[in-house]
Parts: sequence; structure tokens; C-alpha cells
Amino acid sequence: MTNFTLQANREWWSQRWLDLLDSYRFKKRLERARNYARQGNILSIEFKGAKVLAKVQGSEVEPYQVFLSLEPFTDEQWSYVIETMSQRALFAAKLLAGEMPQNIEEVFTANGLSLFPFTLSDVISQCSCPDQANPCKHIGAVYYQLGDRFSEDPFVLFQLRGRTKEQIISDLRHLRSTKVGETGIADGGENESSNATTLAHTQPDSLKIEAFWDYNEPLESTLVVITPGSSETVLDVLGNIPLAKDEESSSTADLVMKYLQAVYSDVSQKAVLAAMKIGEN
Amino acid sequence: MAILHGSWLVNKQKSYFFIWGETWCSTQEIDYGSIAVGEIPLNPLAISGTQLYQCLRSQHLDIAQFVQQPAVSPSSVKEHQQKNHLNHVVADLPIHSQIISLPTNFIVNQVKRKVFIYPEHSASLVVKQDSSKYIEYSQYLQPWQIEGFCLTPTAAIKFLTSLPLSSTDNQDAFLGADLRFWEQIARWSLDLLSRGKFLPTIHQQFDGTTVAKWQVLLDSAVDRSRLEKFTTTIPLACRTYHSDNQPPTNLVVDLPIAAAELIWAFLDSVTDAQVKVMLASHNPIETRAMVSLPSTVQQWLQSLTHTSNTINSEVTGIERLTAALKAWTLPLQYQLVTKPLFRTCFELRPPAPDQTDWVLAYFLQAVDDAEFLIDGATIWQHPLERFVYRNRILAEPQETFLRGLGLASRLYPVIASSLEIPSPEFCCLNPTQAYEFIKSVAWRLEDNGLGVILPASLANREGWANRLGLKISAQTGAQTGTQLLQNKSARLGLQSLLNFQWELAIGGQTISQAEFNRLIALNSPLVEINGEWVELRPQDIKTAQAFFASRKDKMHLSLEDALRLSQGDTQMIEKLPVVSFTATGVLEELMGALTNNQSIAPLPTPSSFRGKLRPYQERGVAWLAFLERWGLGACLADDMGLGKSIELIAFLLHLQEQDLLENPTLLVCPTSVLSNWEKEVKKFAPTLRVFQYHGDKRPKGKAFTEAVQKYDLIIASYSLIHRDVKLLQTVKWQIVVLDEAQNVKNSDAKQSQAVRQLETTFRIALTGTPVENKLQELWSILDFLNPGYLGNRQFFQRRFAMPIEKYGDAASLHQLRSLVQPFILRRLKTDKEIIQDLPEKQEMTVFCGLTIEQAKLYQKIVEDSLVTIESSTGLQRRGMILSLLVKLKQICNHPAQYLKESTLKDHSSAKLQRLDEMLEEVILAGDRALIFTQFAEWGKLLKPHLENQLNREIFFLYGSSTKQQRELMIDRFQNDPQGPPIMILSLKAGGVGLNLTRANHVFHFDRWWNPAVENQATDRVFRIGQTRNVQVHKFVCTGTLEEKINQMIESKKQLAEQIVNAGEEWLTELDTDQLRNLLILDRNAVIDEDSE
Repeated sequence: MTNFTLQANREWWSQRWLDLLDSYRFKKRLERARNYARQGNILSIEFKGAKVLAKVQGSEVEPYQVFLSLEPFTDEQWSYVIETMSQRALFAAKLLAGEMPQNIEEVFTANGLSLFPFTLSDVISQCSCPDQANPCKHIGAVYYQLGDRFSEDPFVLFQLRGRTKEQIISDLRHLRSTKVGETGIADGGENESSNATTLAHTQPDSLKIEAFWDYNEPLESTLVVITPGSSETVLDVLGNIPLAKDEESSSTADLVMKYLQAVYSDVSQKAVLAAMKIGEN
Repeated sequence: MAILHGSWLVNKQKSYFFIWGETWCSTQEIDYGSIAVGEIPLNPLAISGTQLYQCLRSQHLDIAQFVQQPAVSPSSVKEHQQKNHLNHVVADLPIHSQIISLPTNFIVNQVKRKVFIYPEHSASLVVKQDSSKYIEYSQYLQPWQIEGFCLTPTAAIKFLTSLPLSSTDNQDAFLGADLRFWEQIARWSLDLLSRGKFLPTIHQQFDGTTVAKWQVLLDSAVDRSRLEKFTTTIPLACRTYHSDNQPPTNLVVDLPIAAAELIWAFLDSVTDAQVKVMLASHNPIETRAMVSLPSTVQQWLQSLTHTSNTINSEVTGIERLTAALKAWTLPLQYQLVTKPLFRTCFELRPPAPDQTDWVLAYFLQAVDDAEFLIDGATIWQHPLERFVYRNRILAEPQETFLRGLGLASRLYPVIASSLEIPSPEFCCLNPTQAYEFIKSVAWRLEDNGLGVILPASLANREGWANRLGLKISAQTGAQTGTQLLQNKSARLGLQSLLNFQWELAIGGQTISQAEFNRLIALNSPLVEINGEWVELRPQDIKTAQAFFASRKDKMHLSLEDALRLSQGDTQMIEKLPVVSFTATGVLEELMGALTNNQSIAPLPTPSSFRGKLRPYQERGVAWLAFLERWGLGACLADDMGLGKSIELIAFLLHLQEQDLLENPTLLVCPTSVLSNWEKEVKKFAPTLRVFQYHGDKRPKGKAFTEAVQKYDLIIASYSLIHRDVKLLQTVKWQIVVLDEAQNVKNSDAKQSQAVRQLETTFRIALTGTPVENKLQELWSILDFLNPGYLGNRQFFQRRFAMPIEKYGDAASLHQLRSLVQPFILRRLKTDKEIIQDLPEKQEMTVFCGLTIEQAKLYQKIVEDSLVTIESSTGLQRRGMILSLLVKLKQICNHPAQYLKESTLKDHSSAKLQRLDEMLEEVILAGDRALIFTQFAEWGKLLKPHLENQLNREIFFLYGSSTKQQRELMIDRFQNDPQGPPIMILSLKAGGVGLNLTRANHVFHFDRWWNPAVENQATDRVFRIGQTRNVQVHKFVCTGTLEEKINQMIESKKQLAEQIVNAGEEWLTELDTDQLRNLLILDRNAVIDEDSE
């Protein structure tokens, strides 16, 4: 049983980005930029704080430097966003579990903000090439690859607006703590100076020398007969690897998953066989 | 024999599994002061790489197949081995030197003002603990050098999985506890692989290259608790190897490596290696599809399935793949890098009264203590980084809680909607969702590292305590216990049918058919009965309906069924689980007594018994009488020397006194003990009419049938049983007893088949071997006693023998023990209540017969010599008598000794047969023995024979042993944990002075007829330092001078002592007639050889 449907539109954020590019009027220019990206002219893309720094190989020997940024939200704007997020535990839960909430955009729109720019003109960009047009094809190439980067690590979206995922998580906690303080819910926690110790659950490292060689446990009975697990594996839990989506061969992730699935079932069978042959030379 | 040790070593560069061997040697203390700074002394107990290689080969473990050889290809290794160029092969294997800290004795010598050290042997450390002997020296961990082999992860798994997993039968004595630990971890790793508990990653190596790696995934609840358990039980010995072989940098010995890290590192390494090996030469997708992939991804996938491929793609590609993999595995990241102390937990609560919805409440739960729960409300009130709660510190409680909720909402989307509020604490599930949660979601959450608590009545998903089932209460037929006692003809047996009632029950509660119908009408998988929620499986409903519809009078319940039910073996009747079973009346008493033989009242010693039974023997007799009353076959398996034969004889007398002996009893035993049995019966039970059925002149046909009725007990040998089975079948036996029942261990053997064909009402097996550890033997004996009880052999093999012998399955072993326990009574001489009943020294005479060959030789020598002796006088006559005595003793020992042959192969001796049998029991019981003989040449013959027979080294100490040899033998016999358990000593060389208290059996194989000399020899064992009871076995050949002199000594001990004090001189004073009377052979003592 695999009802992990959440994978279906996992990459809506990169889709949104591509939609944004599609809405751009100068199609020809972007088309050229896309080919540029596909031909491997982008040497590197780095996220530095809220900025994107890229190196694109142009016609000159020295690659061009491309800077991209969105307008960061102010602290005040962020505090509204955090406030809205805290209204629904799901956001914090998903972020902590390493997942981008599907409806994250709602949090921003509720505050009159948008995680994504509405038009390309909202994207601040700069290129070291002599071309006056913006976006030039180097910037355009970076645009294209950003879509892939968003699917590989969706949390850079936050970063571009001025907050890391970790900051958001800690802001959320901060907010919860101030609220608890306000409503005056008693801090029922025990005083830390009470003799609480972590020793209770960290194993006392016994160095009993007389037990140096002791091991008398029989094999755990659940390990006696080794059977294949259920058909559900960690692959089902994690879903497709967020590999870059190429328009033509959109099946990279599918192929990889197919590969991995074959590996998992093959290993499972072979491990069961190996377990049966135990004790034989 | 060496003990193998080994462990996983985590090194900076290359980790490996290191194996080495330990043997025992005389204490070689090292002057601590002579060790230079930074020098690590060589461990005197560790064997060299070459020895280790040989030791492994002797265990059929060819190390060459595990260790990578630098230059030699496997085929040439084989050639080497065939040519037996052992050293060449070893030279090719890289022998590795390793530092390990071991428990070490530090002895302060005040006189020399020096400190001496030596490492403690791994087996003697255990021994010391057992004997609670105080440790004389202070012990510390001290680094030592050892030699051994390094195994790669793949080789380590191959090595560990080729070792025996089971620990029964001592076959693993060559494995140290550390290796047994790693064996189990290796098995766990196979389990992890079979369940797909691993993840592909990309990894930058020490040298800067990038490779694909598989990482183990220990997220599920079951693996977490295994890790927890293994972390606490790992022997310290696995953790004191020095990483990167670094000697300790300062005086402080490094703390051992953290257990969890070590286990985790091993699992990671072997998982990666195993997956790659398993997939080698296998391409999961077509090449065409493969080449369509981006080059980095393609290389990564290839590297995942090949052992040594690095990824040589451009940096950006690698970076992007790394980022994607990181994002992909992010939901599991905290499981991969940390060992969480708390997890989010989901408790399913049944609906409140008048409600239909179930509640799924959210908690934080301590990983190591399922009872430690913190509810959602408390968590939400404490937005802290560190929260102290009930003496535990929780780091980031809300984040941990939320992270779990996030993962859970991914695995079970129903939860997601409850997370739309700021501080969720629970969600509601309708009955269908609740059922689905129990059936499939709970498992999935647990498998992904989350906690689940179900209502107790629904929690046990495998057991059927709460399923629909039958409650059965049973009793025996109309008879009462007293009636049973009096009515001899109406004995019960395993197949006897019982009266019983049944009721339908669910969740531990009885329900009527009407109630049952009402529950079905609810049409819900979960139903509530008197406040308890239980599961109603569609399959069970169908079975129950069919059960109601069928005719119940067709149901049968036998005593055997009842026994299985009460032991938890059978659990189904008519396809319905039996949820409870109660026995009432006599049956209850029977069940009680069967499961606890202590509750059987001891029987007083029968008045016709000549002697006194010890208290445990009285219990043994009562136990036999109890099982006899119910017609259940009994296996009396008391330790050697506790008096099984006496118990049997007393039991027969008990039956005789009760007037229950109606038919003759047949006792089957090895030929070597025929005469011993007859002697014992005549000695202790003169009222029993006993008959030895053997020899050419035994009655045949009708004569036999008639003769047999005149006796109470017929004694016959196994070989004869097979030969005369047709004739023996014509008799209706009261009891058939198998002595030394291990003789039927091979159920296909002719004698095993034959004993099964005899008709009788009661069967007894006597054996001194630990029958419960030898499964085929156990099955065979039980199948003789209670045919069909353990199923047929194939079934037994599959259900018990395989899991227990191959995997050391404790659950199957436990099940088997509880099944056979009612029929086996085994008391050990070390049992507390037995010890107090036993004398510290027990002397027993072991009567053996003579083989036909021995008898012929004996008779001929006696007759020939007497003629010449008669005609001679004086010194010459005395000399001739003494030499005759020597010859006769030699013949009694073994014809080969008399004939001065170089081996024992071509002849046989009854004494030796008996010795072989008894020594086997000694060894199986883990005891040690001394064998005294006055003939050095006999010791020389006996040593190779026993080594071959018992498949181990045997010591022989005699006049020609050098001082050094003697000292080494004595030292090893007394101290080597794995030293030979048996030592042969010549009476002259070994009779005085030595201290051999580790033995607790003394065999006097031939006799000196001088009690003082024999006692002095016995005192090698029975002296200060002996902590156990000592058994002295004095061998005597019946019908020969040995028996007659023994009789004289026993009957008039005092007089005899005066007579014989001067050795055997007095014999030379006898006149020829006296001599003839003494020496003449009693033909009855000749035992029929097994030849047909």
C-alpha cells in the first residue's frame, strides 16, 4: 500500500518559477538562455545569504559573474509571516521533518506577501557581461537552472527572502515561548537545579573487568528466521529523489527510483537466502 | 585448542574486522619493570598468525578465502594447500600485529621488590567467577601485542556467518564470547538488508575522492531497541582494541570506544559492502535507459552497485547530486546522525461512552522506556531548549514533538488535518480509520522510528489472547484417582480421550451464541465487550459459525492434546484458537504433577529393598510410579553415579509390593553391563526373579515363552533384541526398560526399530547423558517412550532441531523443553538438594563381563599354568603364580595387551567397552577423570584409543614421563580452561604426591588388591581443594579372579586388609586347589559378542 501521494506535486515551487519565466514577453531571448544553460555554460551557482552568485561561461575566457536577488522581506514582514505560521502547527512540523509544506504560499499571501516574485522584473539581477539587455542570456540561463535548484533544495526560497529554515524554526519557538509567557500558563517544568541528571538514560559505561569476556545472550528470537520485509521500503517513505527535471527526459528521477527499487528487492531476496545458509562454510 | 577472538576496529583510514587466537600456557609472568617506555609486550597467550591459520583450518575455516592476499591468486593458494606447503600459504597472508588492552594480573613480589604481570585467560576469568574463588591479584587493563588477520567487511560477514550460531552441545567452545556477539550483529545486518533498512548516499573519502555508499538505517522501533540491547550487552573485550594501532599516549589506558558507535560503524561498513557484493554483475535497468541519465547520476548509480568505483564527475554535478540527496533524505536526517532519546508517540484510545470516534493522542516517549510519556499539553507549555521533566532532560521538546508529527503526517495523512491549529494534541479517528490504524498504520509508524501505544486488548497483534476462541475445561473420564489406582486394567495413555466442555470466548470473556450473533450483527471489525475492545476477524467469524453448525460430538480431546494445550504448544482446535484451558479433578492433579515433579510425594523405600534409598532416589521412584499409573513413558536421566539402576530396581519392588507385577519386565542394555545389572538386582532385590537372556544356550521358541513367565525381570542386550525380536514380540511385557538409552539415538538403527516393536504398557529409558541437548537422541528416545508425541522426525527436524541447532533459537528450545519436561527427570550431582544427599566420596564397583575371546584366552592360560604350577615348588612356584596373575589381569584388561599388540583394533574387551561408555558421559557432563592402571604398556595402548574415541587429547603420566612433561601435564590438567579432561596414570608414577583435584572421577581400571594403594591413588583427587563430590569406579571382570578377590575384600574387609596388605604375595601361598578355585572362570560371565 502506497498512499504517499504527496510526491505528485512536490515540485510546485520549481514549476511556479518556470511559469514565471514563461510569462516573460521576450520568448526568443529566454529560449537562447535555456540552450545556454543546457549546454553547461553555468559553471557554478552559490547561495550566499539572500543572494545568488553564479559563474556563467560566455564568449570570453573569463566567465561572467551573475548576481541575482529578490527583495528581502523586512523583519516586521517576517514577524507577520511567522505569526501566521504559528497558527498552524503543520508548518513547523513539516519544516522540522525536512519537508516544504505544500501550502506554504498561503502564509505569505495572508500577509499580502508573495514568496515568489509576481513578475521577472521583481527579480533584481546583474551580469558582468557587456550586454545591456536585462535579462541577458547569462542571467536567463541562471533563471532556468534556479528552477532545478528549487526542487533540489526548496528551502533556498526562504533564504532569498532573508531567512533560513533554521531561523524560521527558531523564530517560531521564540514566538511560542512569548505566548506562553503572556497567557501566563504556569511553567510546570521542574526546576533545573533539582537533581535531574542525564545519567538516568545514558548507559553507565560499565568497565567491570570481571565481565570483560561475558556474553551469554541467545540469538534474539526475531532474528532466528529472517523473512523479507513488507514491500514498503524507505523509498516509499521518501518518494522520488528531487533530481533536476529536464523537459525532454523528464524521467531522470523515475529511472533512478526504478533502479533503486530493483536494488532493494534484489538485496532483500539475497539477504534472506544468505540468512538461510548461515553456519555453512 | 585455541579460542578465537575478534572485533570490528574503527580506524581513521581503513576499518576492518580483526581476528586472533588465544591458547593456554603455563604462567609466564613478565617483569613489569623490564618493559621499556612505549614498548607493548607480546601477549604470551596469543597464538601466532601461523598457528591461527592452522587452528582455523582445523575448524574447517580456511582463512585464505577470507583474507585478501596481495599477490597470490586463489587458484595458486589451492595448489599450495594440496602440496601442503603450509608455510608458503601463511607467508602469503598478511599477518597483522595489533594492540589490545586485556585484563591483566599484577602481582607484587615483595621479596624481589618487583611487579610481575600476565594476561588473564578469557576462559579462566569466567571460571574464577563461577567458583567464587577470591582473586588473589589485582587486575587492570594492560595493552598487549597480538597477531592475527584483518578481514574486510565482506570477508568479515562471510567469516561470521560461517560460524555456528547455536551454542548447544559445546560445539562453539572454540569461539570467544566476543565473536558470538559479532555473529549476532552479523545476523542482524542480514535482517536489516532483508527489510531494506539502508539508504544510498554520496560520500567524500579521506583521500578526496567521491564514492557512493550505502548507509544503514536504524529508524524502526525494533532496531532501536536492538541497538539499545546490544549496546548494553556488548562484551568489553570488543571495545579495547587500539584504533590505528596507537599505543596509549599516557599512563591512563584509553577509555574503550563507545559501544553504539562501534556497532553502528560495523553495520554501516558491512551494509555498504554487502549490498555492493549482492548486486555485483547485475544491472537493474537497461543500459539504454542508463545512458540517458546525467553523467553524475549514472556514475553514482554504478558506484552504488560496484565495489570500488569512484565518481569522477565535475564538481557542480556532484554538488547538485549531494544537495538533492540531502533534501531527499532530510525527513530521516536526524535518525541517521543522532541517537534520539525521545520520539513522538501516538496513543490510540477507545471511544468514550456514547461516542463512536476513537482518539489518537500525541506524546513524547522516551526511547529506552516506553512508560515515560509526556503529553501534548505539557509539551506545549514548555517552549524550551532544555526541558527537565521527571528527572530527565529533553532537548528541544517542541521541535522533537513537531518533527515526529511532521513525519507522521507524511506516513499517515489523516493526522495532517489535526495540525491546522497552533498546539495540536490529538486527532479523532472513526471506527474504520481506527481499525486501519491498528492493522497497517501502527506498524508503519513504528517502522519509521515513531512510538505507538494501542489499547492493551488490541496490542498483541500476533497472539490470540484477545481473538475469538475457545475456552476449554477438561477432566478425565468418570474415574477418580483412587479408581485409577485400583483398576489396573484401565490405565490411561496419551491417546485416552477426555471429557471436556467448551465455551466461546473473546477478549478473555465468555460469550453465548446469542451474544456472538449480536456482535456479528454490528458488522464492525472492532467490538466492545464489557468495556474491552477486541478485534473480530472475518476469518474467525466464519470458523466460529462453521463450528456452531457442525456436530460437536465429533470433537475429541486426548490427554496428549490436553498436555500440549497446557504447555502452550497446540493452540488450535477445530481451527479455532484455544484462549484458555483448565483441567479439573484428577486431570488437574496430573497436569500439576507433570509440570512440577516436585509435587509428587516421595515413596517410602519398599520393604523388600535391601538397602536405603537416598531422599532424591525416593522421589525418583515415586516419579516413575506416577508416570506408570498414567501409562506415560518416562526418561530417567540422572547424572552418572546418582543410582538410576537402584531407582529402577526399587520401582520394580514397589510394583511387586502393590501386586502389580503381572507380566515380566524386559530390560535392554549394552552387553558390557549385563552382568553388572544382574549383580545389582540380586544385591538390592533378592525377591525379584532375574534372568540374563544371552549366550548360545539361551532358551528358544516355546521354551523361551514358558521360561520367561517364571521371571520378573529379563535382562538382554541391544544386539540380541534385534536378532530375537520376533520371539520377544510374542511376550506381553509389563515394562520395557532401555538402559543407556543413547543406544537408540539413531532411530533408523536396527536395535532402535526392534525396541519399538515390543508390546508393553509402560516404557522407561535410562540415560546419564544430557539428553535435552542432543536433539536427535531426544527425539528418538521420546518417540520410543511416547510414540508420536514430538511428531515424526521430519516435523521435529523442521520445527525444533533446525532452529535450535542452526540458529540457537531460544524460543524453540524453550518450547521443546516444556514439551518434554514432563517425561524427563534429570538431577545433577551438583544440584543443591542432591549434593546434601550424596557422600563426598562414592565408591562403586563396576562389574564387567568377558568377551568370548577373553574367556578363551583366560581359560587356556589358567589350565596350562595350573598344570605346571602343580609340579613346581618354592621360589619357582611363587614366580610362576605371580606371572600367571599378571597375565590374567592383562587378559581381563584387553586381549591386545596380553598379546602385546600395538593397537586395540583387532580385539575387544568388555572392560574397555564399559570405560568408553562411562567416559563419554563424563565428558558430556563436563566432568574430568583420572584412570589408574598398574601397567604402563596398557596406558600406552589406551591413550591413542581414547584420543580417537573421544576425539580429543588425552594425557598419560607414567614412569618414563620426563619431569618437564609431568609438570606441564599437571599444570594443564589443573589450570588450562580447555585442557584435556582425562588423564591416564600408572599407579606407580601417579599414585602419590600429585594434586589433581580438578578431576571428580577416578577409575581403577585394573586392581592392585591393596585398598591402601588404591586409596592413596584416589586421594590425588579426593583431597584439600576438591569442591565437588568424587566418584570412584573400581572395575572388576565378573567370573574371574578379579571378582573373587573383590568378594573376599568386600565380605571380610578387615581380614582381607590384613591378608592383602603386603600386596599380592599372599596369593603365592595358596595351594593348587585353592588357587584353582580362585582362578577358574565362571562361564556365565562371558558376554555374547555383538557379532551375529
